[in-house]
Amino acid sequence: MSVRHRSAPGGRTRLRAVVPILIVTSLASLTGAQLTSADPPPAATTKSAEQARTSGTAVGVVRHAGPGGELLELQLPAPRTLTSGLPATEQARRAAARLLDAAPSGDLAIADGVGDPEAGVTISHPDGSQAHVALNGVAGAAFAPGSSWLAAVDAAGRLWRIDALSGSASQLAPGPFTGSIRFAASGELILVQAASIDAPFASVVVRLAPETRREVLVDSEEGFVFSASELADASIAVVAHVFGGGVEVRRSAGGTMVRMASLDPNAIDASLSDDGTRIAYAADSMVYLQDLRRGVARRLGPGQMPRIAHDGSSLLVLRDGKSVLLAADGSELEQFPTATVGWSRCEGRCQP
Amino acid sequence: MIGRICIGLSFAVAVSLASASHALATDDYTLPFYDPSVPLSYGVDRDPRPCYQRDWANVLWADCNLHYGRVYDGHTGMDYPMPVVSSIAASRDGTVIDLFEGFGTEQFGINGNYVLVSHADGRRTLYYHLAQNGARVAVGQAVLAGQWIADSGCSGQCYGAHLHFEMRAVVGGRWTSVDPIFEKRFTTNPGRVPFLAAYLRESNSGSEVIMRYTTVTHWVEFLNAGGRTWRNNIGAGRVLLGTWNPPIRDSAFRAIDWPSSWVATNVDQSGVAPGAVGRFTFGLHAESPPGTYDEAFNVLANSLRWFDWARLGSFHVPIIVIANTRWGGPAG
Repeated sequence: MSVRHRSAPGGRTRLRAVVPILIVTSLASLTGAQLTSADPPPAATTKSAEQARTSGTAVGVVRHAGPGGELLELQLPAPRTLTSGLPATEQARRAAARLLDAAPSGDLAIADGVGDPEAGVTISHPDGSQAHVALNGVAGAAFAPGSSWLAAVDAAGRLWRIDALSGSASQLAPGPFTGSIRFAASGELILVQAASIDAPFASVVVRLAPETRREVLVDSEEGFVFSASELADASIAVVAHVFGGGVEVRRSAGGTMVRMASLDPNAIDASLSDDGTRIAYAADSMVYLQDLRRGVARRLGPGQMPRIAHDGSSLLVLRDGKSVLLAADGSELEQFPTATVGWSRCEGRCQP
Repeated sequence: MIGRICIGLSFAVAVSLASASHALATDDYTLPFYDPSVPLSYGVDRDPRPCYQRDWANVLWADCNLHYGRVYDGHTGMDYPMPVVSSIAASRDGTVIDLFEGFGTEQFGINGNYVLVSHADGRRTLYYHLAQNGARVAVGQAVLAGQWIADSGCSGQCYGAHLHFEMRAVVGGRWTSVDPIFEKRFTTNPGRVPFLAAYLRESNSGSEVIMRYTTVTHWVEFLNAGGRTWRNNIGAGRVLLGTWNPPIRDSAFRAIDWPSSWVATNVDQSGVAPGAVGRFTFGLHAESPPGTYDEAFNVLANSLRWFDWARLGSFHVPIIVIANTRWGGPAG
């Protein structure tokens, strides 16, 4: 793997007050890493719907109307990697995590496998045809607005631009970035850049303009950022482990970061509603839903990998390898036999 | 007389370790685990260029391949394969400054569990891919070299259970990973586990024959095959000989010079450097009726760790108690 690393600032000083927006002209100036020629692009292939069926890679999609939006239930090919020998919860997690993103166009981005160092990304089109890019491990991916391409981070933390139709890839930035990858409404990418992809324990949030490849540092507070995303009001919400302990949600407001809430110190897999008022997370195999305005966390019972609906009214969780749709009060609304269920982003406007 | 050492290969191991050591940097960093058989699978890549790899011995590869036992491209730490929930030790005295332990023990993803320790020399050590709730310490807690601080796991970007151990230092004003082997930060290169003792010899290689109600003096010598200096004048970490099998057991052969009912003695010398020989001298007092007995001991770093790996630190003394023909014993 080709991995570059940036250094994390030291000391326990909390850069809480004012975080200036720094315009960084190149990744090298931020990281101290050498600028080098981009790595060669991974190979891309395409399949017609018929070829996908005969080769066993076809993706079945069942759409469900849920109280928080449309749900996609996927029938996916068997994972490339064996998960036997792993705890049941981890087996379910690896199956569920294979859906990376669903575009309004109806395109789906699916990882070949989780925990597979050679897993690539399959882009499944509504007509059943597919494109595949051999990415060498997939940390995360997201469709750009317009759905014509997607940004993906490979296992080495490199950021790639992948054409949705052909699967052809070109490197946007060497990173290393983590699997948190979101698009802002402006078309900029919101990424988490880690000190090291081998052992990421310190990271910063950056905005990257795909066309100019300019980066802007959004949040440099010491700690490790689990995820960062743009809220409906165009502010950036960050879920991060704070250096020294604790997990918190903070939000950019006029160039400063403001703490919104503290979560359980073991909180993982946080999922924020689009308006930033509710957050779901897991801690020690229990799922919680927290109202960020009131600061009250409700324990919804056992489960993992909560994925909150865009409006925050319900959430999907994994329980015993199955997907369960929960209401905000924890009551069970619906159960799906597989772990591969996710929210769509098209609210009924998906193709076909 | 039967031999009393439990593991006969200990001497050969010890000699091998001793001859491999050179320029011992006493009480510097040690390997962050206890099992001396754990190999280094991949070390630090000291060449920042993509697809150029330079290992601790300055060997350069101009490729992107994995070089098992040496390095892989861009690697910022040292990988030590071990089963999940293996014990992880602090590499040096320090203070825990950060940790996270919320991910599943084998939860795959970019992020994993870790403990970060700050040391007095200005460096930091990072212990990564740990088990869920696998930290045995808290933030702010002072830890001693060799102290059990965490359980290993395979959380994060982990393709097979291992510990990612990383040393970080400020270089050019920035925190960056450094190579402890290349910099010779370990007590020996490529490092030793903190606590390891190799049996050498005893004052009496056969059964200890003790007349009832009397005391004999016994000594045993071990090579310090670990990375820490053995000391007898400190609290936590003091190296002593305790009862074993089961451990911390009141001994029927406790002599008046024993520090406690289960501690036969501290190591005789005030300091036994890695590669040097430590002697433990203690009395064995017989109150038991005439008969054949067996008393087991093991070396312990007080409050930290038994030297129990492969039982290299343990030994037992066959004891024959004979009747006291000179004195009938206590009245009654």
